[in-house]
Amino acid sequence: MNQPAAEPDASSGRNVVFRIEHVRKEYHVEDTVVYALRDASLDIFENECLVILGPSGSGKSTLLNIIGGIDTPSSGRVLFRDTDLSRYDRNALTMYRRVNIGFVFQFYNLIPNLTARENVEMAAEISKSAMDPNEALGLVNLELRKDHFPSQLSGGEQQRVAIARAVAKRPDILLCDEPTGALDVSSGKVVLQVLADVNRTTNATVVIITHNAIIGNMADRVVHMTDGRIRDIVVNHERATVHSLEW
Amino acid sequence: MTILTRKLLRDIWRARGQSFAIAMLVCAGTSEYVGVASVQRNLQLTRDEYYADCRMANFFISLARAPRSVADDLREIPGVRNVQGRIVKDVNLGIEGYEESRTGRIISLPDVRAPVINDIVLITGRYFEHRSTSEIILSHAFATANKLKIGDTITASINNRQHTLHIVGTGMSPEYVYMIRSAQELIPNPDRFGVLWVSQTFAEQSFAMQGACNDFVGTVERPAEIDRILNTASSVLAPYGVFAKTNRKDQTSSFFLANEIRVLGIATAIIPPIFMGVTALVLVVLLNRMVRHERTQIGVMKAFGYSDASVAAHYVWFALVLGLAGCLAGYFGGVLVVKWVMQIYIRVFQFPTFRMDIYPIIMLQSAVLTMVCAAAGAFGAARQAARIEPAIAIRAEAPKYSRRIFLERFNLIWGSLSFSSKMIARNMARYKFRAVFTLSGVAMSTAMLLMGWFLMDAVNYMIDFQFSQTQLEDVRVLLNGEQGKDTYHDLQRLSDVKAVEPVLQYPFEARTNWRKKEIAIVGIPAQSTLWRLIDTQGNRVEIDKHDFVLDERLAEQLGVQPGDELVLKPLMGRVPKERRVHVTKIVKQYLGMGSYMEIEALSRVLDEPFAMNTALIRSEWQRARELDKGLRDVAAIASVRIKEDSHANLKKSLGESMRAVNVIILGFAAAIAFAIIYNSTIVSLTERHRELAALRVMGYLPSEVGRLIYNENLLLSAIGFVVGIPLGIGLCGLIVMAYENDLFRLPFKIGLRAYALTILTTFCFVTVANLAARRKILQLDMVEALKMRD
Ligand SMILES: Nc1ncnc2c1ncn2[C@@H]1O[C@H](COP(=O)(O)OP(=O)(O)OP(=O)(O)O)[C@@H](O)[C@H]1O
Ligand SMILES: [Mg+2]
Repeated sequence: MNQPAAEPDASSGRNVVFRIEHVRKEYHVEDTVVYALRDASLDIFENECLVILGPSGSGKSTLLNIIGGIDTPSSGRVLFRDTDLSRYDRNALTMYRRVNIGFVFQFYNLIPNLTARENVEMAAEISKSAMDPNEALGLVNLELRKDHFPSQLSGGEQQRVAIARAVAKRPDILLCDEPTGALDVSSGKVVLQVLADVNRTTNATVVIITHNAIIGNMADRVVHMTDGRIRDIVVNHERATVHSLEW
Repeated sequence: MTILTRKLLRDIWRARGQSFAIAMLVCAGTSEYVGVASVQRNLQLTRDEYYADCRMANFFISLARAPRSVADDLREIPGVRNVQGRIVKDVNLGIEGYEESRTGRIISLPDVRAPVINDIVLITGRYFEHRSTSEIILSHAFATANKLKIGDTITASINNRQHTLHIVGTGMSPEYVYMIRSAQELIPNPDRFGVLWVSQTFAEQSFAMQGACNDFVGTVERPAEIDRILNTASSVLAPYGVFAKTNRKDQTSSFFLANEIRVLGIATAIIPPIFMGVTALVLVVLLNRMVRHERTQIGVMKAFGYSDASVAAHYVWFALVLGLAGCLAGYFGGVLVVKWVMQIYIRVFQFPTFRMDIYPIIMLQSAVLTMVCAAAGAFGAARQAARIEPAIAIRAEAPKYSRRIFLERFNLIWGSLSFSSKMIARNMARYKFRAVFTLSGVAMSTAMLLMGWFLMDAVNYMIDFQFSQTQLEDVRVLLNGEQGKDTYHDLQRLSDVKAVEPVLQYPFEARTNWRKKEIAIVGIPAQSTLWRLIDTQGNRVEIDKHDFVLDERLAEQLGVQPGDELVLKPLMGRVPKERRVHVTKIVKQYLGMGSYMEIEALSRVLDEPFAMNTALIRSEWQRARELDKGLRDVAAIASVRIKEDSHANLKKSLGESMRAVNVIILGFAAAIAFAIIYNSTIVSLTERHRELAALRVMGYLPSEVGRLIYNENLLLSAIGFVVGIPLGIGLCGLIVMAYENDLFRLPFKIGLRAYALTILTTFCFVTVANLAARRKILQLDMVEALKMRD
């Protein structure tokens, strides 16, 4: 089912966490201008699982980074629960990320000389409401590997540590940029299962970027991006379970 | 412990080789600074306390003879605190079991112990008990060197009579901390020269000077007024014929001591800044690489909500922890330096007690200096870390677009280079800063090495020049006062004597229109073969009746050139009749500052037909020692010096201290070369991890990969060496200037040997640092290196 992009989802009546309004992002490289985002508008709801699909270079990561407060739009605005993120200065953005956001990256980006547990502690340490690192590792079924260094873990396991790290501080929003991009099918599924569980148990809003259209089936809504614009949004009335996904 | 702290410690551990090298640099700089600055302060405080406790005189006036009561008149001069008269005379000594002659300086002290100026400290034994008897207190070093103990006797010829003197004690005096007979000797010779303190009654009787004295020592309220006081004193003493009036700072022992303290000050001012600078540079290279390497991690931490400041602080802490570790190690090093250097000084300087302290304030200074340098070195990296934008950092790093390097424009050259040479050339262009850094490190260490080797050569050259080019006698005899032709003929008749030449040395005040200086003019025979003068080109200079010859440095100080006029006024109690002379020639001299005239011409300046107070003797082949024994019985002789001994003694003690200096310099140069080359090699290895791993995958042997890096370092070192040589020459010039004083000047001549040794040692250090880094190449893990994204 297609829906106009910026319209509030009156039917579900859920609260909006992010209201993205006419956001543009352009990069000036030498003489040419690269448009990463051209007029993107989107609402993201509390506790939903949102998947963003789109070809390479369509601006997915850029959008995610702007939501996460590690990048800023060239124009337009992003409202986070009615406050405009563009009014935040660097420090406020840092505090915003500290309290609200959890990031998961395609290449895990664990700190190589910290153990799995310490990597989680790294995030927990700066958060007041953090969960116990062991509990976070429990969520991703890695309690037994907690004293291993990243280099001693497989890619899928590293990604699960990265998720544990992201959820440890109980963020309201979990932003995942191609979390399965570097994984095979089975470990990719384990990771997605973890994300689905987190979405269900912690009430966090989960945003997942992927190239894989199949993954869209596990989401509440699927956003399609092309060329820096949001092409359409598909609402899944029935979310597929992770283990039923096949690619 | 926070996670960042844990990461910090692990980072340090992971880069332990480099961390160690940095800590070592800090340690070396700190040890040197804490050690040498403490030694300097110890020496200064020891001296000041000693001078204060024993009431070291502010001025010394020697004269022919004056009533002791004149001291009362001198005390009336405003600003004078106290004045005392005493008898001071050099005599020839005989000691049972030794045949060579020795010189003793007899100094009178009150019969009953009193708080006199230049008081002595008794080390063993007691003060005089029986007035008018021949009890003596011997200077401690002389007693030790000649194995004399309390109860032993020595003989002295005083006024042509042999006296037997009984040793009742040994002592030290602030006047003879650096125990040399005259400044010309440079180096103490404790077995040949000593001080004998005797009771005033004994001195008056044996020298026939009842109620009289020939030396006044005094203290003043304000040392700044000393020149005025000395001038007034001279006019008070004019009727008695003043020989010399000396300010404390020009007093021989005091002068040498102050000079040593000054040189230590220079050492503390020059070396630590070099170290701190190098430390900061090494940190810059290491931390900048680290930040570049950990770019993504930094981005992630920031994405998670770590603030810019806390991430930046992480890198500053890295530097501070290493600085702190180096500092702590440096304090222990400093304690060792203090112990070691003080050990040398204890042998050279005669102090009853030595301070061996380390000063908290100096430690604090060095710690603050280190921390500031460490923080400065980390500043760039920290700022970079703070500026990293997480959105950009967590993306894969865009490949650095590589430009063609300058050399590639020359097709002919570039085309003929091997693949590995091209790689080296590209690399140096790519990492310009690090190339410059390695290069300047090698340059700095080369410069220091050259300075070290130069110093050793220069001291040897200076001494050898003196003893093989100028001073050609076998034995030098100092006479008691001025003697006539008779003594000259007497000496000629002695057995083992091949040739004798008379010499007259006399102090004058030399004046130009705007400058004034006390100089000693040496009168030598016209055709002298035993005292040779050499001009600045190295040619022999003949002297005749009309000549007035000056040494280069003295001419500089007086501001005169050949043809210029000087006014001479004889000192030492002569009627102050002024003479005008014209400078005719300039000669070169490293030890002392000399001025020369023909001996009879000089005698006539003093209104005498012929006078001599020194004789130079060429002995029969290898008979110098026998000659020395024969000379003991000649009454007119005050002391005898065998050239061979003076030469060996000077070479041994100056050579020894120069070797110590050189060892320190070598160590520092090694530390710098090692730290810099090792560091930049490791940095370059980690940065080019993937590229090198790829080479290994292609089938390169570890040794071939190693050679690639080694060749790059060798090339940089070669350039660094070329840059370092002029830098080193500059440093040598500086050190020559720093060392220069009235007593000697180091020849600014850098021999081939110094260059050769510098090349050799630089090459050694470069190779050792490379070998240390080689291990890392062997450990290069291909699989891991290629698996990682970053
Ligand atoms: N720092 C930058 N400078 C210049 N252009 C940039 C920069 N960052 C991103 N871009 C460009 O912006 C566009 C959008 O990039 P973005 O990373 O958002 O795409 P994406 O949809 O995440 O692609 P992918 O699926 O490959 O990750 C791309 O064309 C990219 O080249
Ligand atoms: Mg992307």
